[in-house]
Amino acid sequence: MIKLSVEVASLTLRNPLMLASGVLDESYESMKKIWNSGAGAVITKSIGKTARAGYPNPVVVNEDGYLINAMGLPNPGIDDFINIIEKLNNEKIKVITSIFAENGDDFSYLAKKAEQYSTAIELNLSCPHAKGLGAEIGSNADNVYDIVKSVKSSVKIPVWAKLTPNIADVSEIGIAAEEGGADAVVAINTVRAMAIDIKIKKPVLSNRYGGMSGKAIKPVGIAAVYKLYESVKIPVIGVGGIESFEDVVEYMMAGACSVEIGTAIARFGVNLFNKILTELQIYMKENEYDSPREMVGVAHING
Amino acid sequence: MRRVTVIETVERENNNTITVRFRDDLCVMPGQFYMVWFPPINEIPLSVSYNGKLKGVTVKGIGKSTKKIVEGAVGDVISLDGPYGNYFKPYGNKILAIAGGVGIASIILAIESFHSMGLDITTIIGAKKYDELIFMERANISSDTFIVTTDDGSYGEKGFTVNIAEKLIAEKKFDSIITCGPEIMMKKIVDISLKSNIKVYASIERIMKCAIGICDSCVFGAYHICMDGPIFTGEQLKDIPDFGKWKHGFSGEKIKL
Ligand SMILES: Cc1cc2nc3c(=O)[nH]c(=O)nc-3n(C[C@H](O)[C@H](O)[C@H](O)COP(=O)(O)O)c2cc1C
Repeated sequence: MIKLSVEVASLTLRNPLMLASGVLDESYESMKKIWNSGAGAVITKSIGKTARAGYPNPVVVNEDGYLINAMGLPNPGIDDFINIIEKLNNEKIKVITSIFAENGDDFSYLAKKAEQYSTAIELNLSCPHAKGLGAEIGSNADNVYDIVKSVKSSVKIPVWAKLTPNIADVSEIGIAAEEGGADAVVAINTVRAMAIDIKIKKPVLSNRYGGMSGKAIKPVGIAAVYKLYESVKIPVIGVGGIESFEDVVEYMMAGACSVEIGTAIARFGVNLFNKILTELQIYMKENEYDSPREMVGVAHING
Repeated sequence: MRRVTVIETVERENNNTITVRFRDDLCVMPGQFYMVWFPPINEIPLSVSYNGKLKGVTVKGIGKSTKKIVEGAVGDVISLDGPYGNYFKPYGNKILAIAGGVGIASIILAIESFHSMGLDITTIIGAKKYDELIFMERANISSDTFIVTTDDGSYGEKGFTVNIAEKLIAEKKFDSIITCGPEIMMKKIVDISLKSNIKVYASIERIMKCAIGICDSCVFGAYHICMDGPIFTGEQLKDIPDFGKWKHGFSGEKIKL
C-alpha cells in the first residue's frame, strides 16, 4: 500500500507537497483553493508587524524557465492577517505562517500572535531584496541562531528556518538554525538576480534587485538540500524550481523529506498538486517505494 | 513577452485624462489590457482603447503615478506586456453597453466591434459632469441608440446611468449587457440584469502587480483579475461577496469600496 503522508519532525502532513510562501497566499480564498486542490499544507505570504505596501511596479520579470520578483514583502500586518489564518485553521486547513522581522524579539512577537492558528511557523531569513530583513540578517550564523532560539522559547509549535542560497556555505546557516532549536530547515529562497532592459537602459524591477525562482534555480536548490542533509540532523524541506514529480523525487533523493512549490503553481495552475501526486504514486509503485520517506537521501553515498 | 515601443502621440481627452498611442503588432481583443510601464514612473494595467496598428491606452490621473503620467512626465518609450485577460464576446443581437466615467475606455472597442458586426447597440455613457465625458463621438457613431447622462446635468440627461438603464431594460428586450465603470454602479447594473434574466458582463478593476497570477494582489473571490478576468459574468459575480463592497489595498488589506 502506497502512503503519501510524510512526517516533518513532529508534524504529519497528508502528502509532501506544500505551497511555497509568497505565491497566491495573501488571501483566504486563494489559500483555501490551493488546499482544496491537494496541497499537504499552505505556507502564507511572509507577514510582518505592520502593513507594508511592497515595491512599486514593475515587480516581476517573467522569462522562459525563470521568474525574477521584487514584491517587497507586501502584507497587511499580523493583526489584520490573523483573521485569515484563523478562518483557515477553523476549517482544518494546515496553515504554516511565514513571518519576517528585523530581530529575534519581533520574530517572537509575530510567532506568538500566529501560534494559536498555525500548524507551524516558517521564519523568512532569506528574502533577497528587502533592506534589513530576510537574507540581510539570515546570512549571518549568529543572527540566525539568536532568532531561532528566541522564537523557539516563545512558541510550542514547530519552527522552520527558511534559508538563503545567496551565501558561500548554506550548511553554516543550517547548523546555526539547528543549534538554535529549529525543527526543520527550508531551502532555498530565491536567488538574487537583476534584469536590465537594454532599450530603456535601466533595471526593469523598480527595486532593481530581485529574487530568481522557477525551473532554472532547481540545481541550486538541489545542491543546498544535499549539503544540508549531510550537515544537520533535523529534517530538510526542499524548494526551488519544482515543476514535476521527477523534480520532487530529485529533491527527496537529495535529502528533502517534503517540498514546497511556488512559481510553477502560477505557471501551470493549482491542478499541478494533484497531477504531481498522481504521477508520484505511479512512480513509487513502479519503484517499490511504499512511503516518500524511503526516497529521502538515497542519493548520498551512505544514503 | 515584454517589449519596448515608441510613443507616437499623446492626446488629451480632458484635463485629467490622456490617450497614449503607440505601435504594437499583437492582436488585441476588445476588453483586454496591457501592463504598460512608463519608466521611470510605474507599470499599470490599462485597457486597450484603440486597436489596429496604432494601439492606444487611456489613463486618468487618479493616484500618484497616474497623475504624473497624465501631467506628461512620460518619456519617449514605454514597455508593454500582454495583451492579458479575457475579452467581450457578443451575446445575442441586441446589446446594451453602460459606461461610467473613464470606464468607456474599456468597452469602446467592444461597442465598435459589435456595431461593425451589424448588432443593435444601445450605449449609455455617464459622468459626473460634462468635461469628464470622453469618447462621445466614437461611441455615438457606433451606437444605434446613444444616451449621455451627467450627475449635475451639465450635459445630456441629468442623473445616473443606472436609472436610465433600468428604464430601458424594462422597455426593450436586450439579449445582453456589457458594463465598465465605478463598481457600485456595476453592482447595481448586475443586480438589475440578474433580476431581469439578461446576460451581463462587467469589467472589474483591482490593484494589479504581477499580472501573471502569482502575487495574489488582484484576488477577487476565488478568482484573480489577471488570470480569470477582467471580465466576469453575472453568474460569477453573484457569488463573489467582495463585488461592489470590498477591494484590497497595496498591502493586501481590505478596503471598503
Ligand atoms: C512572487 C514571489 C513572492 C515570494 N515571496 C516570498 C515571501 O514572502 N517569503 C518567502 O519566504 N519566500 C517568498 N518567495 C520565495 C518562494 O517561497 C520560493 O522559496 C522560491 O520562489 C523558490 O521556489 P519556486 O521556484 O518553486 O518558486 C517568493 C517567491 C515569488 C516568486
